[in-house]
Amino acid sequence: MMKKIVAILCAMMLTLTAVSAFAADFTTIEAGKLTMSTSPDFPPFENTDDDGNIIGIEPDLIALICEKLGLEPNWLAMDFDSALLAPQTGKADAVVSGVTVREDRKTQFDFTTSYVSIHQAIVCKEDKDITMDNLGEQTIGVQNGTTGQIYAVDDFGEDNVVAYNTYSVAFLALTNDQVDCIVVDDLVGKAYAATIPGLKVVETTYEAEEFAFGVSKGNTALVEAINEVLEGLIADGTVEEIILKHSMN
Amino acid sequence: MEQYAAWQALVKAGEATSWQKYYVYFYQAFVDKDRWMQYLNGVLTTLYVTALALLIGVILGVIVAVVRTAHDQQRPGKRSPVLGFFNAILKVYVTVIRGTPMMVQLMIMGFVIFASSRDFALVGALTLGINSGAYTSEIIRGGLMSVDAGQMEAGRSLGLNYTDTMRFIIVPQAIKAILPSLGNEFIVLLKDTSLISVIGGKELIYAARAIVSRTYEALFPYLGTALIYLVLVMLFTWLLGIFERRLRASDLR
Repeated sequence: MMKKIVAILCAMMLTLTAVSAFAADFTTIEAGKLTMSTSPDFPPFENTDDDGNIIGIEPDLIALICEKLGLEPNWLAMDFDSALLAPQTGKADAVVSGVTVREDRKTQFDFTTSYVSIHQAIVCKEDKDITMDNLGEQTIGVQNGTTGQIYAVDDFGEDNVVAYNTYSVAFLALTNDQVDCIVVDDLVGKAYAATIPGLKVVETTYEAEEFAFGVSKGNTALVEAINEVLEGLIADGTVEEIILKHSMN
Repeated sequence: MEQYAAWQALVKAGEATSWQKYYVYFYQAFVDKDRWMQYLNGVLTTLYVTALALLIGVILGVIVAVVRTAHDQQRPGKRSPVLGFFNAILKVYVTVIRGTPMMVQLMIMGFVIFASSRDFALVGALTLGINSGAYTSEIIRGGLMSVDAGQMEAGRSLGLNYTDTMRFIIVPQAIKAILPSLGNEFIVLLKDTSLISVIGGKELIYAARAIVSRTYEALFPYLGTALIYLVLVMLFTWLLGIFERRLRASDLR
């Protein structure tokens, strides 16, 4: 009897120490794991490979961050508009999906330090002459929930914009000529233009945007923990290196 | 409006009571920036697609059902090869359409067959109509087959030809029998229109998703969408009920 009680006590103490080792001072919805929502149709930031793994700039960054924090990355793939809602509804600790830092989004997430700055770009077929000046006369394809959609609808109205569930479908529509052009973040536009022949990327005059991870509101400890590692990675040039590596191919 | 702005600031600061919070969520989901217009446009597209698909579905369904019933009810030994040919083709149509998911059909129609069309709602309506036709045809066929063979024999022996017997004797009895399941199929069709958003059709759920991606708040847009669909289906059911009652008028004795 005594032995049993001692054994149980030992087991309890073991689990307690195990938990405290992980829970440095932040919590995640699943202990030991960093659960993230993402829309993996956004190369070079995130994409799926043939084995269904999520690869790209952000998975690489997250892998480094998780390693430092002693967490295991856990990806939840979904459409972008759902991915944005996931942290708020407690499905994910953070949305990691090339999320632009916007004032109105700050009520939904606590953003980490931003790690890259991008511009909106227009992607169209090579034989088309589309610039900011005649963008209003085109049918514009976007992904639902993106800043590209917000700008296009605000500037040219709902009728000129078709929002698809994913950017990969939007680019399919572009190659089919169902839309005249796509408004998308420049790095992503270039990545698609590199894989789909006959497309060109045109610059826009929209302001620069910052990408960051959107951590669920109120989880300040996790934001600080991620920031500490992320800022180190920015400072020593690792982030730039990773971005360059993925932008090449 | 002023109250909304004031309460929205409270929600942003995280100091709002839950009543104020839900008021703001409701306001930004429906009233702010005239967003109810987006739902209205969405509903109009939904109704347009439903009506068009219904028309295509019923026409296709009737044709398929009539040909297939005519084929199946031929007297042994007097089988027409023409009917046999068409029957085989229509059987393939029903098998393929019933055997593949609606979503896959929409993707194929939207991005492969009609890859150059920009009228996404029309392509959606066509796909839904073709899909619905397969199911409707089986329902109608069931109705026609359910009328006792003796009815046809009686009609023919009274000197009516095949078309007249069908028109005055078989079809009126069949319609009454199939109306509930036909209503079922129409309701499914109405709700399936929500799928056309995957090919860019701007129906109701497309509008709701666009609003969610503006407000980052899913509660009222999605709940509102569900409610609108429910109301549409209830209206539909009510109309079908009236129709059914009128058809039943002669049954009372």
